[in-house]
Amino acid sequence: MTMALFCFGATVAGPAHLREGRPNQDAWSHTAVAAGHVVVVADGMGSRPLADIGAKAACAAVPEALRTWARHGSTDTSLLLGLVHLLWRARLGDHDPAQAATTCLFAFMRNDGSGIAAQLGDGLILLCDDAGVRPLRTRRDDAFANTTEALGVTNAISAWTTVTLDPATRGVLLCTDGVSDDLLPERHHDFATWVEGEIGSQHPATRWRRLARELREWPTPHHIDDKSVAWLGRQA
Amino acid sequence: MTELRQFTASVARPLPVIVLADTSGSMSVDGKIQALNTALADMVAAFAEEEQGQAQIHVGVITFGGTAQMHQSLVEADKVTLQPLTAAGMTPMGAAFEIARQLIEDKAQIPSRAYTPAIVLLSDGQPNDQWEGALQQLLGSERARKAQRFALGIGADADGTVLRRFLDNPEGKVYAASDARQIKTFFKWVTMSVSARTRSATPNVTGPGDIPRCELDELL
Repeated sequence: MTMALFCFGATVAGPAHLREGRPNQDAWSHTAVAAGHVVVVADGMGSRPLADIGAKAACAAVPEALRTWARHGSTDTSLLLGLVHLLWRARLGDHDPAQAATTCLFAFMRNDGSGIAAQLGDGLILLCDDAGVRPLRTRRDDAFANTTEALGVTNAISAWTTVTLDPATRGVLLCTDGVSDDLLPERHHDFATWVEGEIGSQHPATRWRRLARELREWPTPHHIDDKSVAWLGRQA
Repeated sequence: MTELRQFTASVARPLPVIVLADTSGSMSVDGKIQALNTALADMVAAFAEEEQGQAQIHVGVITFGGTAQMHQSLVEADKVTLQPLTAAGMTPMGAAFEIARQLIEDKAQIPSRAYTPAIVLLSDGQPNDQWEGALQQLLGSERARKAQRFALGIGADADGTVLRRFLDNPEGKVYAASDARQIKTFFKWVTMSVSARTRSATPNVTGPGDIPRCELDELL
């Protein structure tokens, strides 16, 4: 069965980078690829000088990896993730990967509803189906804010958390930790529903503006981080 | 008003600062306990006025003199009403380490969205309880071992070995206060170091260039 997919997203620089005149170190991308669509959000690690370059490279490496992976007919997710690491590294050219370290969260849905969601590092992926909303990964109890695995920090495929999507999946919401660290866990369902319904129902040409405005007006006091949100799901 | 308010935390991410203060009997001489009280009050006042910061600084004080206890529970700096410390008894530093470990592991008091805590240890003597096991547990705790740590030895009898083991960092420095006045100097440095973190875009990352220089000598 073929189904229509739709996706959108936005990224905004946080107050700390705006004040310091530094670039947004988050990035997001959407690409039509391999009989489906992929969305990526990436959060360049703020302490690294090339964090913004690393995040953009991740957003470009994932669709490139998916194309190669799909072209060869592979179904081994670890091969796909290995390609993400390699292509991210290749996109950095002569830059030191450690100076461009970045988280990487992506969701790939084929037009038949199957697909993959994968997460390396902090942030949040919410998987939405008719039974409810659940996080791909729960936060480690021993963690504090902004301590993370990342491309450029680890090459271990085991550091990723992945899930295979089936046609029951209605959509996948991806957030960098500038968003997820301030979200109330008990409101994850409502947040995902709001993004899908309220933002998703806006006109495609303007909904990113509405989402970006909401992210810029983030209500948690003293928030600092760059913020990114992306949605990929079935057309209602 | 943004609709996101209904889904998001209404308070800033906390940055906990936990002070482990030696209040044993020897701190009662040479004006040390008075200087410590003044320095602590100044630090709390500075944190309470920290408005530019990205985090809300919380302060807790554990004392060890005779017994170890939570002298000031961990709360927002502007809600601290610090009771003056008094000095008496022996130096149960190990018991203080255990209270600190339990506090840092308590996710109700320090949630996962908090920034990495800072622990400040100051002592003018040698611990006289089973401190080694407690320190190992503190340093072995997944959460506590990530904490930023500061240490001050006061006077000639301070045990540099214990304080250096507390720092657990070959590049970390145990500073020395040869007189009561230098206790204030140390706390000013701690205040500046923590404040610098709250103003940083990366409050959990503390490289050598992120922390101001301390004017005190290193404890030998």
